Amino acid sequence: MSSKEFLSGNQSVALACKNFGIEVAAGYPGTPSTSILEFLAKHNCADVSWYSNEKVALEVCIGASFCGARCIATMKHVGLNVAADPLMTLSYTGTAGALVIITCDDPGSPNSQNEQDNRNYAKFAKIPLIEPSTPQECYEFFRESLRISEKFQTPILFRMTTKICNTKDTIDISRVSPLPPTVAKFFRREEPRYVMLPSQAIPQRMAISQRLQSLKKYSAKTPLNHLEISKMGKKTLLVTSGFSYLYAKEMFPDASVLKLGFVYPLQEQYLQTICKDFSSIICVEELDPFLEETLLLAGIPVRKKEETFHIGEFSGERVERLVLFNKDIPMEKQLCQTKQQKRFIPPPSVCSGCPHMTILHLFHKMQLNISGDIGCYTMGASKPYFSMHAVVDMGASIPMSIGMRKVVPQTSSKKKIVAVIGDSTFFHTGIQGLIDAVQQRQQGVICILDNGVTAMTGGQGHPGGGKSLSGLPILKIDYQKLLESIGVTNIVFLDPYKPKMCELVLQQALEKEELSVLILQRVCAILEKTLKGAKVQTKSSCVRCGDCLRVGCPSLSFNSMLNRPHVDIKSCIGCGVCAKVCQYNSIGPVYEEVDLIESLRIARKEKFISA
Amino acid sequence: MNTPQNILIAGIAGQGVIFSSEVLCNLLFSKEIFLKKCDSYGFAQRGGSVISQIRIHHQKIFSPIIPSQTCTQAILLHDGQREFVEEKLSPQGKIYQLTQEEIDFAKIKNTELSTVINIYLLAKFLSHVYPALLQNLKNYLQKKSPPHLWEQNKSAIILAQSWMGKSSFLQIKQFPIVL
Repeated sequence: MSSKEFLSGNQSVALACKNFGIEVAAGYPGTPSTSILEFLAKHNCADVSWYSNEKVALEVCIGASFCGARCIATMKHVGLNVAADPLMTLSYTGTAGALVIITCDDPGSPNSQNEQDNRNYAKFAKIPLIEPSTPQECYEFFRESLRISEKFQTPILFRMTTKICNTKDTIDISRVSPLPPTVAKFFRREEPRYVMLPSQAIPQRMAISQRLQSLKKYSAKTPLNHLEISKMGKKTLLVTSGFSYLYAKEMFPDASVLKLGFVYPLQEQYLQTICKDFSSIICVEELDPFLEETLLLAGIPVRKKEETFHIGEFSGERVERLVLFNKDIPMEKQLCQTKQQKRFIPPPSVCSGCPHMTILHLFHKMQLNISGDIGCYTMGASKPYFSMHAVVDMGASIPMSIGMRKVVPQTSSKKKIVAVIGDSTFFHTGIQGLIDAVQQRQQGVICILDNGVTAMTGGQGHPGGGKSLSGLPILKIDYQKLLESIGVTNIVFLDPYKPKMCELVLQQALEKEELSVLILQRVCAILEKTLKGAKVQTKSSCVRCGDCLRVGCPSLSFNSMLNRPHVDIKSCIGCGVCAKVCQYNSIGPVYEEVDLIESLRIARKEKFISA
Repeated sequence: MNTPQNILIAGIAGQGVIFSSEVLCNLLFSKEIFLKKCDSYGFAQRGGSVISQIRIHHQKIFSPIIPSQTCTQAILLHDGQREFVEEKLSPQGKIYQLTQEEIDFAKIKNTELSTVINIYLLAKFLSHVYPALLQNLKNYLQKKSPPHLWEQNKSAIILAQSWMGKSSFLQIKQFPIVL
């Protein structure tokens, strides 16, 4: 039987979960970690679910681990901030069954609001950190993570980055021996370490120190860390881990390399013994100088990485520049790779027929100050809406709007502050802000954009969507009952495909002396294929006012040949928002799919040929 | 051949960049060669950039990321990515891109337009670079395509083959590999 497969980093982790007996897998979707649980759900071998946020997901795993089960919690890097509270104390309690926390970092932040380096969390929480470089290592190291977790009764931080998650490579699973199954599950209530009372904190803190000492000894003998000595002699040593190792090997195939898979904690003596023979030591690591600081603390003379290399994603060229660093080259030129890459990327936009278009358009039209949140609607910050004025983290929109209203003196300015939050984000960490808005007797408008899914990451389910990870129907939270129980008195459900009604209701809500929650409900346009209505096209009666273009649908653009806006029939889903916005009734349904642009182009071509 | 074959597929969301690279890797996957692929698709569903990098070699390759000026072939699906592709392209490298005339000639116009165009472009790429794999592409698609799409995919491959001899792409340098 063939044991070689062509898998991505995320697929390898999912396969490892299946083959090494993971029983509970929990997470919250976030690029690039999302597909781990999606792949695992297809294997149909464990309890795999999305939870309302990363904190809940980790706490579910803690409970299962206390009963002896093998578990994983998956999240993107910023998700670990949400789960940081249980993580810090989990380090004190320790685990019974294996618990691996998979954090998928995003250097260069192509998919995120920041590029924080979550290796720091391992040091902060005093738990082991394991970092694979390839899909094969994802599979092998995951097995080792479970073994370490069970042996040392500690949670493991398993750090991947965007490139590792999305890299596909040939993996050979026959190289890795199976892991014995876990023993029968039961909860040992007599364990005092599970009840973290203040009196337990110091004894457990001392236990952490002992555990770290044992782990340091392990780090010196684990095959996860190894030295590759150059045939050219012991002159320069590159100390590296994760995806940076691949760049280092690509650019300097003959260099001596200390490849670290078990990145924290490291034994000082082990590092000193390896490094003592080399005259120059350079840490090749993306983002923070994590390894560099570890080596410096061990008294090893490392060449310090310049500040410019603490920023952005690496490339082969940047690694080359880091190793052969020339101080005479200005900092801007050292960063040029990142700048160039950004210049080529077309700006993202909302999708054709996106239900969020209406409200973003209205915010712009009514010149409101928007306290926004994380989701597809965050793209309202750019052209043509420019209607997202403060976005910080998941669930921040409502609390930020409370703070703004508290200090803005004039009533008219207070009324212009509106909080907007997506449905998945609302259940993630938005509810708490709403409770406080009611408690603080806030007067203003909160918009919940409900498209039934976590659309930004590809349409995963959430508590308000009514679908599980495997696609099965689950209990759907009723917004009306939930908001009423919190104490919201003015709750209005709106259809975002009716822009005039939305405008009227928003206008009225802004004038009211109470807290209004407007819930704009429409299924995500790209995920719900049955939505397709009659496609529309502009008519010759168009007066070129530009109202339809300001809706921001990517299917609609100004066509210079026709000298008026024109709908791309192929991508139009027939939501009809542009037609409803048009005051002159100059956009109507297309019954016959005639692509005017193409007709014109062919006509011009024929004319050119005949000429 | 001492240097790896570096294939870049670049486009924007919804054009089937990942689909094309998945099909290509399925055809190229062999236990005797080293094959690596890396996809970059931030904001992929919102019209953002999508890039797939594929590297093939008979010796071990470390990074799946194509270094600057070493790309041997690039399939360009969106002109907005041209500058990025050109920066990656080696002096001998070639860009495969559909011309408007080709779309007219092929008369490929239906609801699954982008998928069929990708099959066409992929078939054209294979007919120049790996002619032996064209039959494998047909077999693969026959197995994987939904029944209502198979006929369209087949005609896209036939059209791509019929373009051989008519296109300026014939001057493309071939990079044979051991398969």
